[in-house]
Amino acid sequence: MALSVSFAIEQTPSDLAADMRRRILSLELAPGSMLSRGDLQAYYAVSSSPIRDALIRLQEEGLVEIRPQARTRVSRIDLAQAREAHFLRSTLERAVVRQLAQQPVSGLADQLDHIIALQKDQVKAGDFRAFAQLDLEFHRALFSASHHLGLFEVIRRESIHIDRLRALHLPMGDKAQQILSDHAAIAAAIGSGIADEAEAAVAWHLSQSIAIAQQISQIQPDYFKQ
Amino acid sequence: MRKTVKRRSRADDIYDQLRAMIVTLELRPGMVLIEKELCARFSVSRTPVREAVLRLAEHGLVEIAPQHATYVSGIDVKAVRQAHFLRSNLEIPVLRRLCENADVDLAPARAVVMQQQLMMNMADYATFMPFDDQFHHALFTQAGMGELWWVIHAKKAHLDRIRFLQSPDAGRIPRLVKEHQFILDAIEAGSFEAAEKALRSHIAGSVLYLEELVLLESELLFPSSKEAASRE
Repeated sequence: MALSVSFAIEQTPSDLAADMRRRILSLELAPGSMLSRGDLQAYYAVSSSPIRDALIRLQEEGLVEIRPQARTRVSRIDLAQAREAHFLRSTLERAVVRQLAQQPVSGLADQLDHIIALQKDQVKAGDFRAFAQLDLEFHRALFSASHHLGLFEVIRRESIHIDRLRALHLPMGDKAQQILSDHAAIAAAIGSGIADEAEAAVAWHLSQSIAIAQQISQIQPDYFKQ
Repeated sequence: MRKTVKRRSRADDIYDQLRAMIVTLELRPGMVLIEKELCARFSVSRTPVREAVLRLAEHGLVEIAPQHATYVSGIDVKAVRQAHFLRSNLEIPVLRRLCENADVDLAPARAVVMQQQLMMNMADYATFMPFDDQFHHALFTQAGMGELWWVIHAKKAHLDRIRFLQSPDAGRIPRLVKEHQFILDAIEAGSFEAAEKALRSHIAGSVLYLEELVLLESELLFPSSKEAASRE
C-alpha cells in the first residue's frame, strides 16, 4: 500500500538561505555557476517569493549575484573582499583578547580548555565538520565573554569569502594540529594576563587562512573573481 | 559589504533614503512603516521596497513583527556602544596604515574637506552628514579598506541617531571640519600618535552624550532602550 503523505514543512526564506549557503560553501553549487529560480522552486517545493527573499539575503552576503535582466549566479570568491574581512576580524579579535587578558572573565579558561579538548577528540575521530563547528565555538566564546557577541555576527557575515577559501583547502591533516596548538596558545596568553601576548597569538592564528589564499587562487583560478 | 562598483538598484536607493530618514529622526522610533505608502512615496513596486526593508531589519533599524507590521526600532544603547567599538577599532588601524605609508595620497580626502569648508556655515547636520561620512570613507579607501567602510556605515546608523537627539549647536560643523583637517595634517606628518588622539576625541562625542542620557535616565531615550541599558 503506497500511501503518500505530504508534510507541509514551513520553509522560511532564512531556512532556504541557510541551505543554499551550505550548498555554496560545500561547492555543490560551484563558484560562477548559474542558478535558475525555477529549478530552485522545484528543488525546495516552494513558491517564488521565499526563493526571491532568500536570494536577496545571499546577495547581501556576497554569495550570489543578481543582475537585472540577467540570470542569477553563484558569485566567484573575492580575494580583495577576503583581505578586508581578514583586517576586520583580526583588528576586532585582537581588541577582544586584549580586553580579556586585562579584565579576566571567570570561567572562560575552563570553557576554552573544554572546547580544545573536544576539538582533540574530533581530530581523532576524523570528523572535520564537527571540528570546524568547534573552531567557530572557540572564537565565539571569546567575543561572548567580552560582551561583543554582536560583532562576532558582523564578522561572520563578512567572512563568507574566507569561509569559502577554507572549504577549498579541506581536508586539513596537519592544519588541525596547527589550529589546536594556536588555540591552546591563545587560551594560555589570555590566562597569563599579558595583553600583548594574547594579541600576538590571535594575529598569528588568523593570518593563516589568508596566507594560503594566493596559492589556492593559482591552482583553481576559475573559482576566483578576476 | 557593499560593492561600490555594482550598479545601484532601486532597492539600494530606497534603503539609503529610509536609512537617512531613520537616522535624522524624521522617522521616529516606534513609527509604523506601511508597505503601500512606501511604494507610493518612492513610486515603485513592492519588490524593491521589501528588499530595502529586509536590509533595514538586518541592520536593526526596523523591526518586522509577526503580523507583518513593520516599525522603526527604538534607540538601542547596546547597539550604539557596539558601533562605537567597531568603528574606533577599525579606523585607528586604518590611520596607522596611512601614517606608515610614505606614498599615501590624501588628495581625495583633502577634496572632501574643501567641499565641507564651502558648506560649513550654511548646512545643518543632516545635510552635512553625507560629506562627513565621505571623508572617513576616503581614509578607508586610501588604506585599501574601502569596502569595510560600508560595514561600519550599516552599524553606525545607531550611533548617528544620537547626534540628532542633541540640541543644535552652530559651532559643531566648523569644529568637525577643523578636526578633519587636523587628522589629515597629522597623517601627512606621519605622526600616528597625533592622528590617533585626534580621531578618538573626534568620534567620541555621540557615545559620551549617550552615556550621559543613560545616567540621567533621559526622556530622550525611548522606553525599550532604557530597559536595555539598565539590564547591562
